[in-house]
Amino acid sequence: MIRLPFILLLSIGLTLAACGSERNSLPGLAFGSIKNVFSRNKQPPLTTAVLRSRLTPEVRAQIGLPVLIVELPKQKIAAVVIYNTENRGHITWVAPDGVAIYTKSGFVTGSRGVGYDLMSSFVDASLAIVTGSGTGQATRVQTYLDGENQQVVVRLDCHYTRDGASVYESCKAGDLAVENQYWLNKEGEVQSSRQWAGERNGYMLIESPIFAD
Amino acid sequence: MRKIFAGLILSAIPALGMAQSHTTFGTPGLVEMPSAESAPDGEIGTTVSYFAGGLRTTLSFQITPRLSGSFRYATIERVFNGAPLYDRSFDLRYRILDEGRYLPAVAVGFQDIIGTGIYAGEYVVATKHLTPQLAFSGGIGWGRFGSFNGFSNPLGVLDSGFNTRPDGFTGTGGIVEAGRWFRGDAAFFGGVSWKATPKLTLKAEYSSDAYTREIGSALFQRKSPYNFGIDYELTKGVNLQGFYLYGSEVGAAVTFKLNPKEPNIVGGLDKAPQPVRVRVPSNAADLGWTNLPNAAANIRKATSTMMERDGLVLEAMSIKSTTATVRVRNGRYTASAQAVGRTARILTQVLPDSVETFKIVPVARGIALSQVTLKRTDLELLEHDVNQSKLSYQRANISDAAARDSDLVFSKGLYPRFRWNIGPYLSTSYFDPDSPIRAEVGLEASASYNFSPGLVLSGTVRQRAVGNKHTATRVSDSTIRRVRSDGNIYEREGSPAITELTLGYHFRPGKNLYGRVTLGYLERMYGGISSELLWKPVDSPFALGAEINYLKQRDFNQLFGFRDYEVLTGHLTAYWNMGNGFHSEASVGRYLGGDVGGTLKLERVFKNGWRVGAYATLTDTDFDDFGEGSFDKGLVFTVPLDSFVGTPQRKVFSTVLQPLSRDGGARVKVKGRLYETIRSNHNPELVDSWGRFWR
Repeated sequence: MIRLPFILLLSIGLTLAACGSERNSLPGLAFGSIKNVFSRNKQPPLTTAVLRSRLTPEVRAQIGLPVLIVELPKQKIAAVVIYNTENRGHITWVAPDGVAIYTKSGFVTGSRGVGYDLMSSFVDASLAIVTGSGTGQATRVQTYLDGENQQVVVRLDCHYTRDGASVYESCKAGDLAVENQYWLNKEGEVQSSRQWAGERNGYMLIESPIFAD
Repeated sequence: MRKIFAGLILSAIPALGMAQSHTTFGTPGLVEMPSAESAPDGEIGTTVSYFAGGLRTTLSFQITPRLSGSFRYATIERVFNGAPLYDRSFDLRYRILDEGRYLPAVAVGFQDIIGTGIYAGEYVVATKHLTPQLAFSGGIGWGRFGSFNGFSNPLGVLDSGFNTRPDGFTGTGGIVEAGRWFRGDAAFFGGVSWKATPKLTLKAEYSSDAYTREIGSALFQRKSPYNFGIDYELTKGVNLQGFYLYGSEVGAAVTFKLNPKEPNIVGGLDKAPQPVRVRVPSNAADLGWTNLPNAAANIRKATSTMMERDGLVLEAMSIKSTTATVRVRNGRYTASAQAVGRTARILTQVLPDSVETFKIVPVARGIALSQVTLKRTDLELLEHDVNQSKLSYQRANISDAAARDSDLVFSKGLYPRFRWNIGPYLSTSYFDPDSPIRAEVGLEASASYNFSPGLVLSGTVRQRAVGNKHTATRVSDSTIRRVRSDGNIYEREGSPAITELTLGYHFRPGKNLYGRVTLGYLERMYGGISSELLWKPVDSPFALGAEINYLKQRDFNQLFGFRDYEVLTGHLTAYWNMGNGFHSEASVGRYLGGDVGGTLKLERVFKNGWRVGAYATLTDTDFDDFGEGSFDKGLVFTVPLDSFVGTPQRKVFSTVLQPLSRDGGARVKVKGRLYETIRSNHNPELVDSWGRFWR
């Protein structure tokens, strides 16, 4: 038993070394993630600014669909996600590597493929204030999974203050205190934002990029 | 002691849930003496400690928030008439009282309760934190914990029988020696621990362990009762410790902690699922597609392709104007609900808008395990609902899947199908005194031929490359038929070995019923025929199984021959998922040696697939005939590998730790036993995994 973790790792390694008629017995990604446990990614972290500069007119023409730039500063990762589909006001944005982000009028309502994902949200009351008067109080609900895959509900009690084109959302849930911020465009819609996406992932920066051209 | 108690009364700081340090015995506490603290619920801690010729490896498991158990394998030099002693011991401890504002936490512990009792001792201990960093512990101990500076047992007031502690152990060991508990002299012990920084803890204690036996063998000199320790958290889950003990010795320990509730990546790194495709309401009544040529074939093809991307296999499908049924093989997700949820979303992508009802039937080993019926409207409504998990379960209908839809069209290329695999294998064994851990690596080739759903011919051949498993030379001293204890001869002779060659058939004899017949070389030591029938309603926490086997012992070389031993074995087994994270199994029947008796297995089951448990088998084999340990018992572990790698995969690491593997109460191993095949697709395990439906 001393070596249980090592034996586990070894047996994973051995499984991966096998070959056979069935290719789908193990997803190829597994090896990548084992490597990630041991080695740090050497590349400089992507940021919203870097990705914005990469979204040249040619690239955007190639994509041909609306995009968002999403960044998790705490995790030092960022991605461009592409419009995929819409269901009851929630847009599903996807990145080719298997990440999906759900938003409703600029409010993040879920994520998939990130790890420690936000499973679902209730944002309607917050949304009404942020895109309306910009002041008041509302409850925003987020659900996550715990280590046993059971739903954990985080009920954020928030109050709102407006400062020109930006709205601050200060929320509390027990010991947790978060400070979200929304930047609105001329039409009063959320153009970019900083929103809480869970204990592990921290804040999520979301930008609906505007291009001069 | 007076100071300690004064401290307890003055204190006004309630206990905080904190990581606690481990003793040389691998239990929460000071240096050698226990404290009243408990590990976090579910934690599995392995501590290896060494000082003065004694090497202890202890596996501790926090069974419930209050109850914990430990299994220890120790080597002590010279104490066994000059020879080393190899000792296995089990502990149980229970926290009676939680730490409060004024009151300390109080725990009662029983160390080394089974067998020879080298480490046997009982204690009642109290722990109080003066500040979140500073904790005092004090207690009274018996047995080993009452051996230094002891006084006559205060329990002697109740009954003079408490005044003397019986020596030795019963018969061949291995049974609970409750007759010793709290008997003989008692002594006080205590100490303090100070968490100087978040990673560094300093400990000092007064030990009431006289180490009589070790000192008698001149292993060390006990010059002082005071011990000191330093505990450094190297990284989350790994602690290193250094000790100065008894005024003469230095020691060291390392502890690895693992909590099944804390996988490497909570929620997993699974790639995003297909989104739900929302229908245009006016299209729902459009049945024009039913007239298109090849419509069904094209839909099946698209479904199969998308499912393959998600690690699922479309086994069969039927498509009607408003209802579709799919049989799904899940090769990737530990949580069955996730396979169902992904299949459902794929169906919204591919099926014409008129199809409102989805019947999703998970399949394993060719048999339908359950049927989850979903309304497409609900999927559209709930995809982004904050209560998606609860509501989607409430609106799903989970039913038995014995009746086969006659319109099912099976996917091409699945039946018949030939598969093969060549790869390395790793095999380990534990607790041989000559080498407590043995391992072997080699090459394994396996192949299977699926004739039709449920009917499969499969075989595996192994050739070892390197290792020391086959070098074990201890000859079995068993006086009864050696049905298991010749394992080392099998290891030595079987190279190459046919570890399995069987024709297996899984089937559904009727509603709530599951059947299996397996014929051939079932495992390394036995061949024959094994048959099983299981009753398990989809929604029931109970199941009943019957198994009958006619077996012949295989030749040591594990090719095609048999030895001169035949036996009829069989069991009736009741399975019960007790809720609250516990699962039990009770069997009665006839075992490999022809002995008759029963097995009880109790497991803590975590909703993410981890299981940790223990079992014991009592049969009519005399304890004397059984030999050392008296009866068969062991610990069982099931570890899903996805909790380490984060990416979804169904592989599990399962192991049985038997302190002693002998010939009484032994059972044949057969691939594809029914309960294990179906359990994750039935309630309560299916609903327990429902949080991943939308994953």
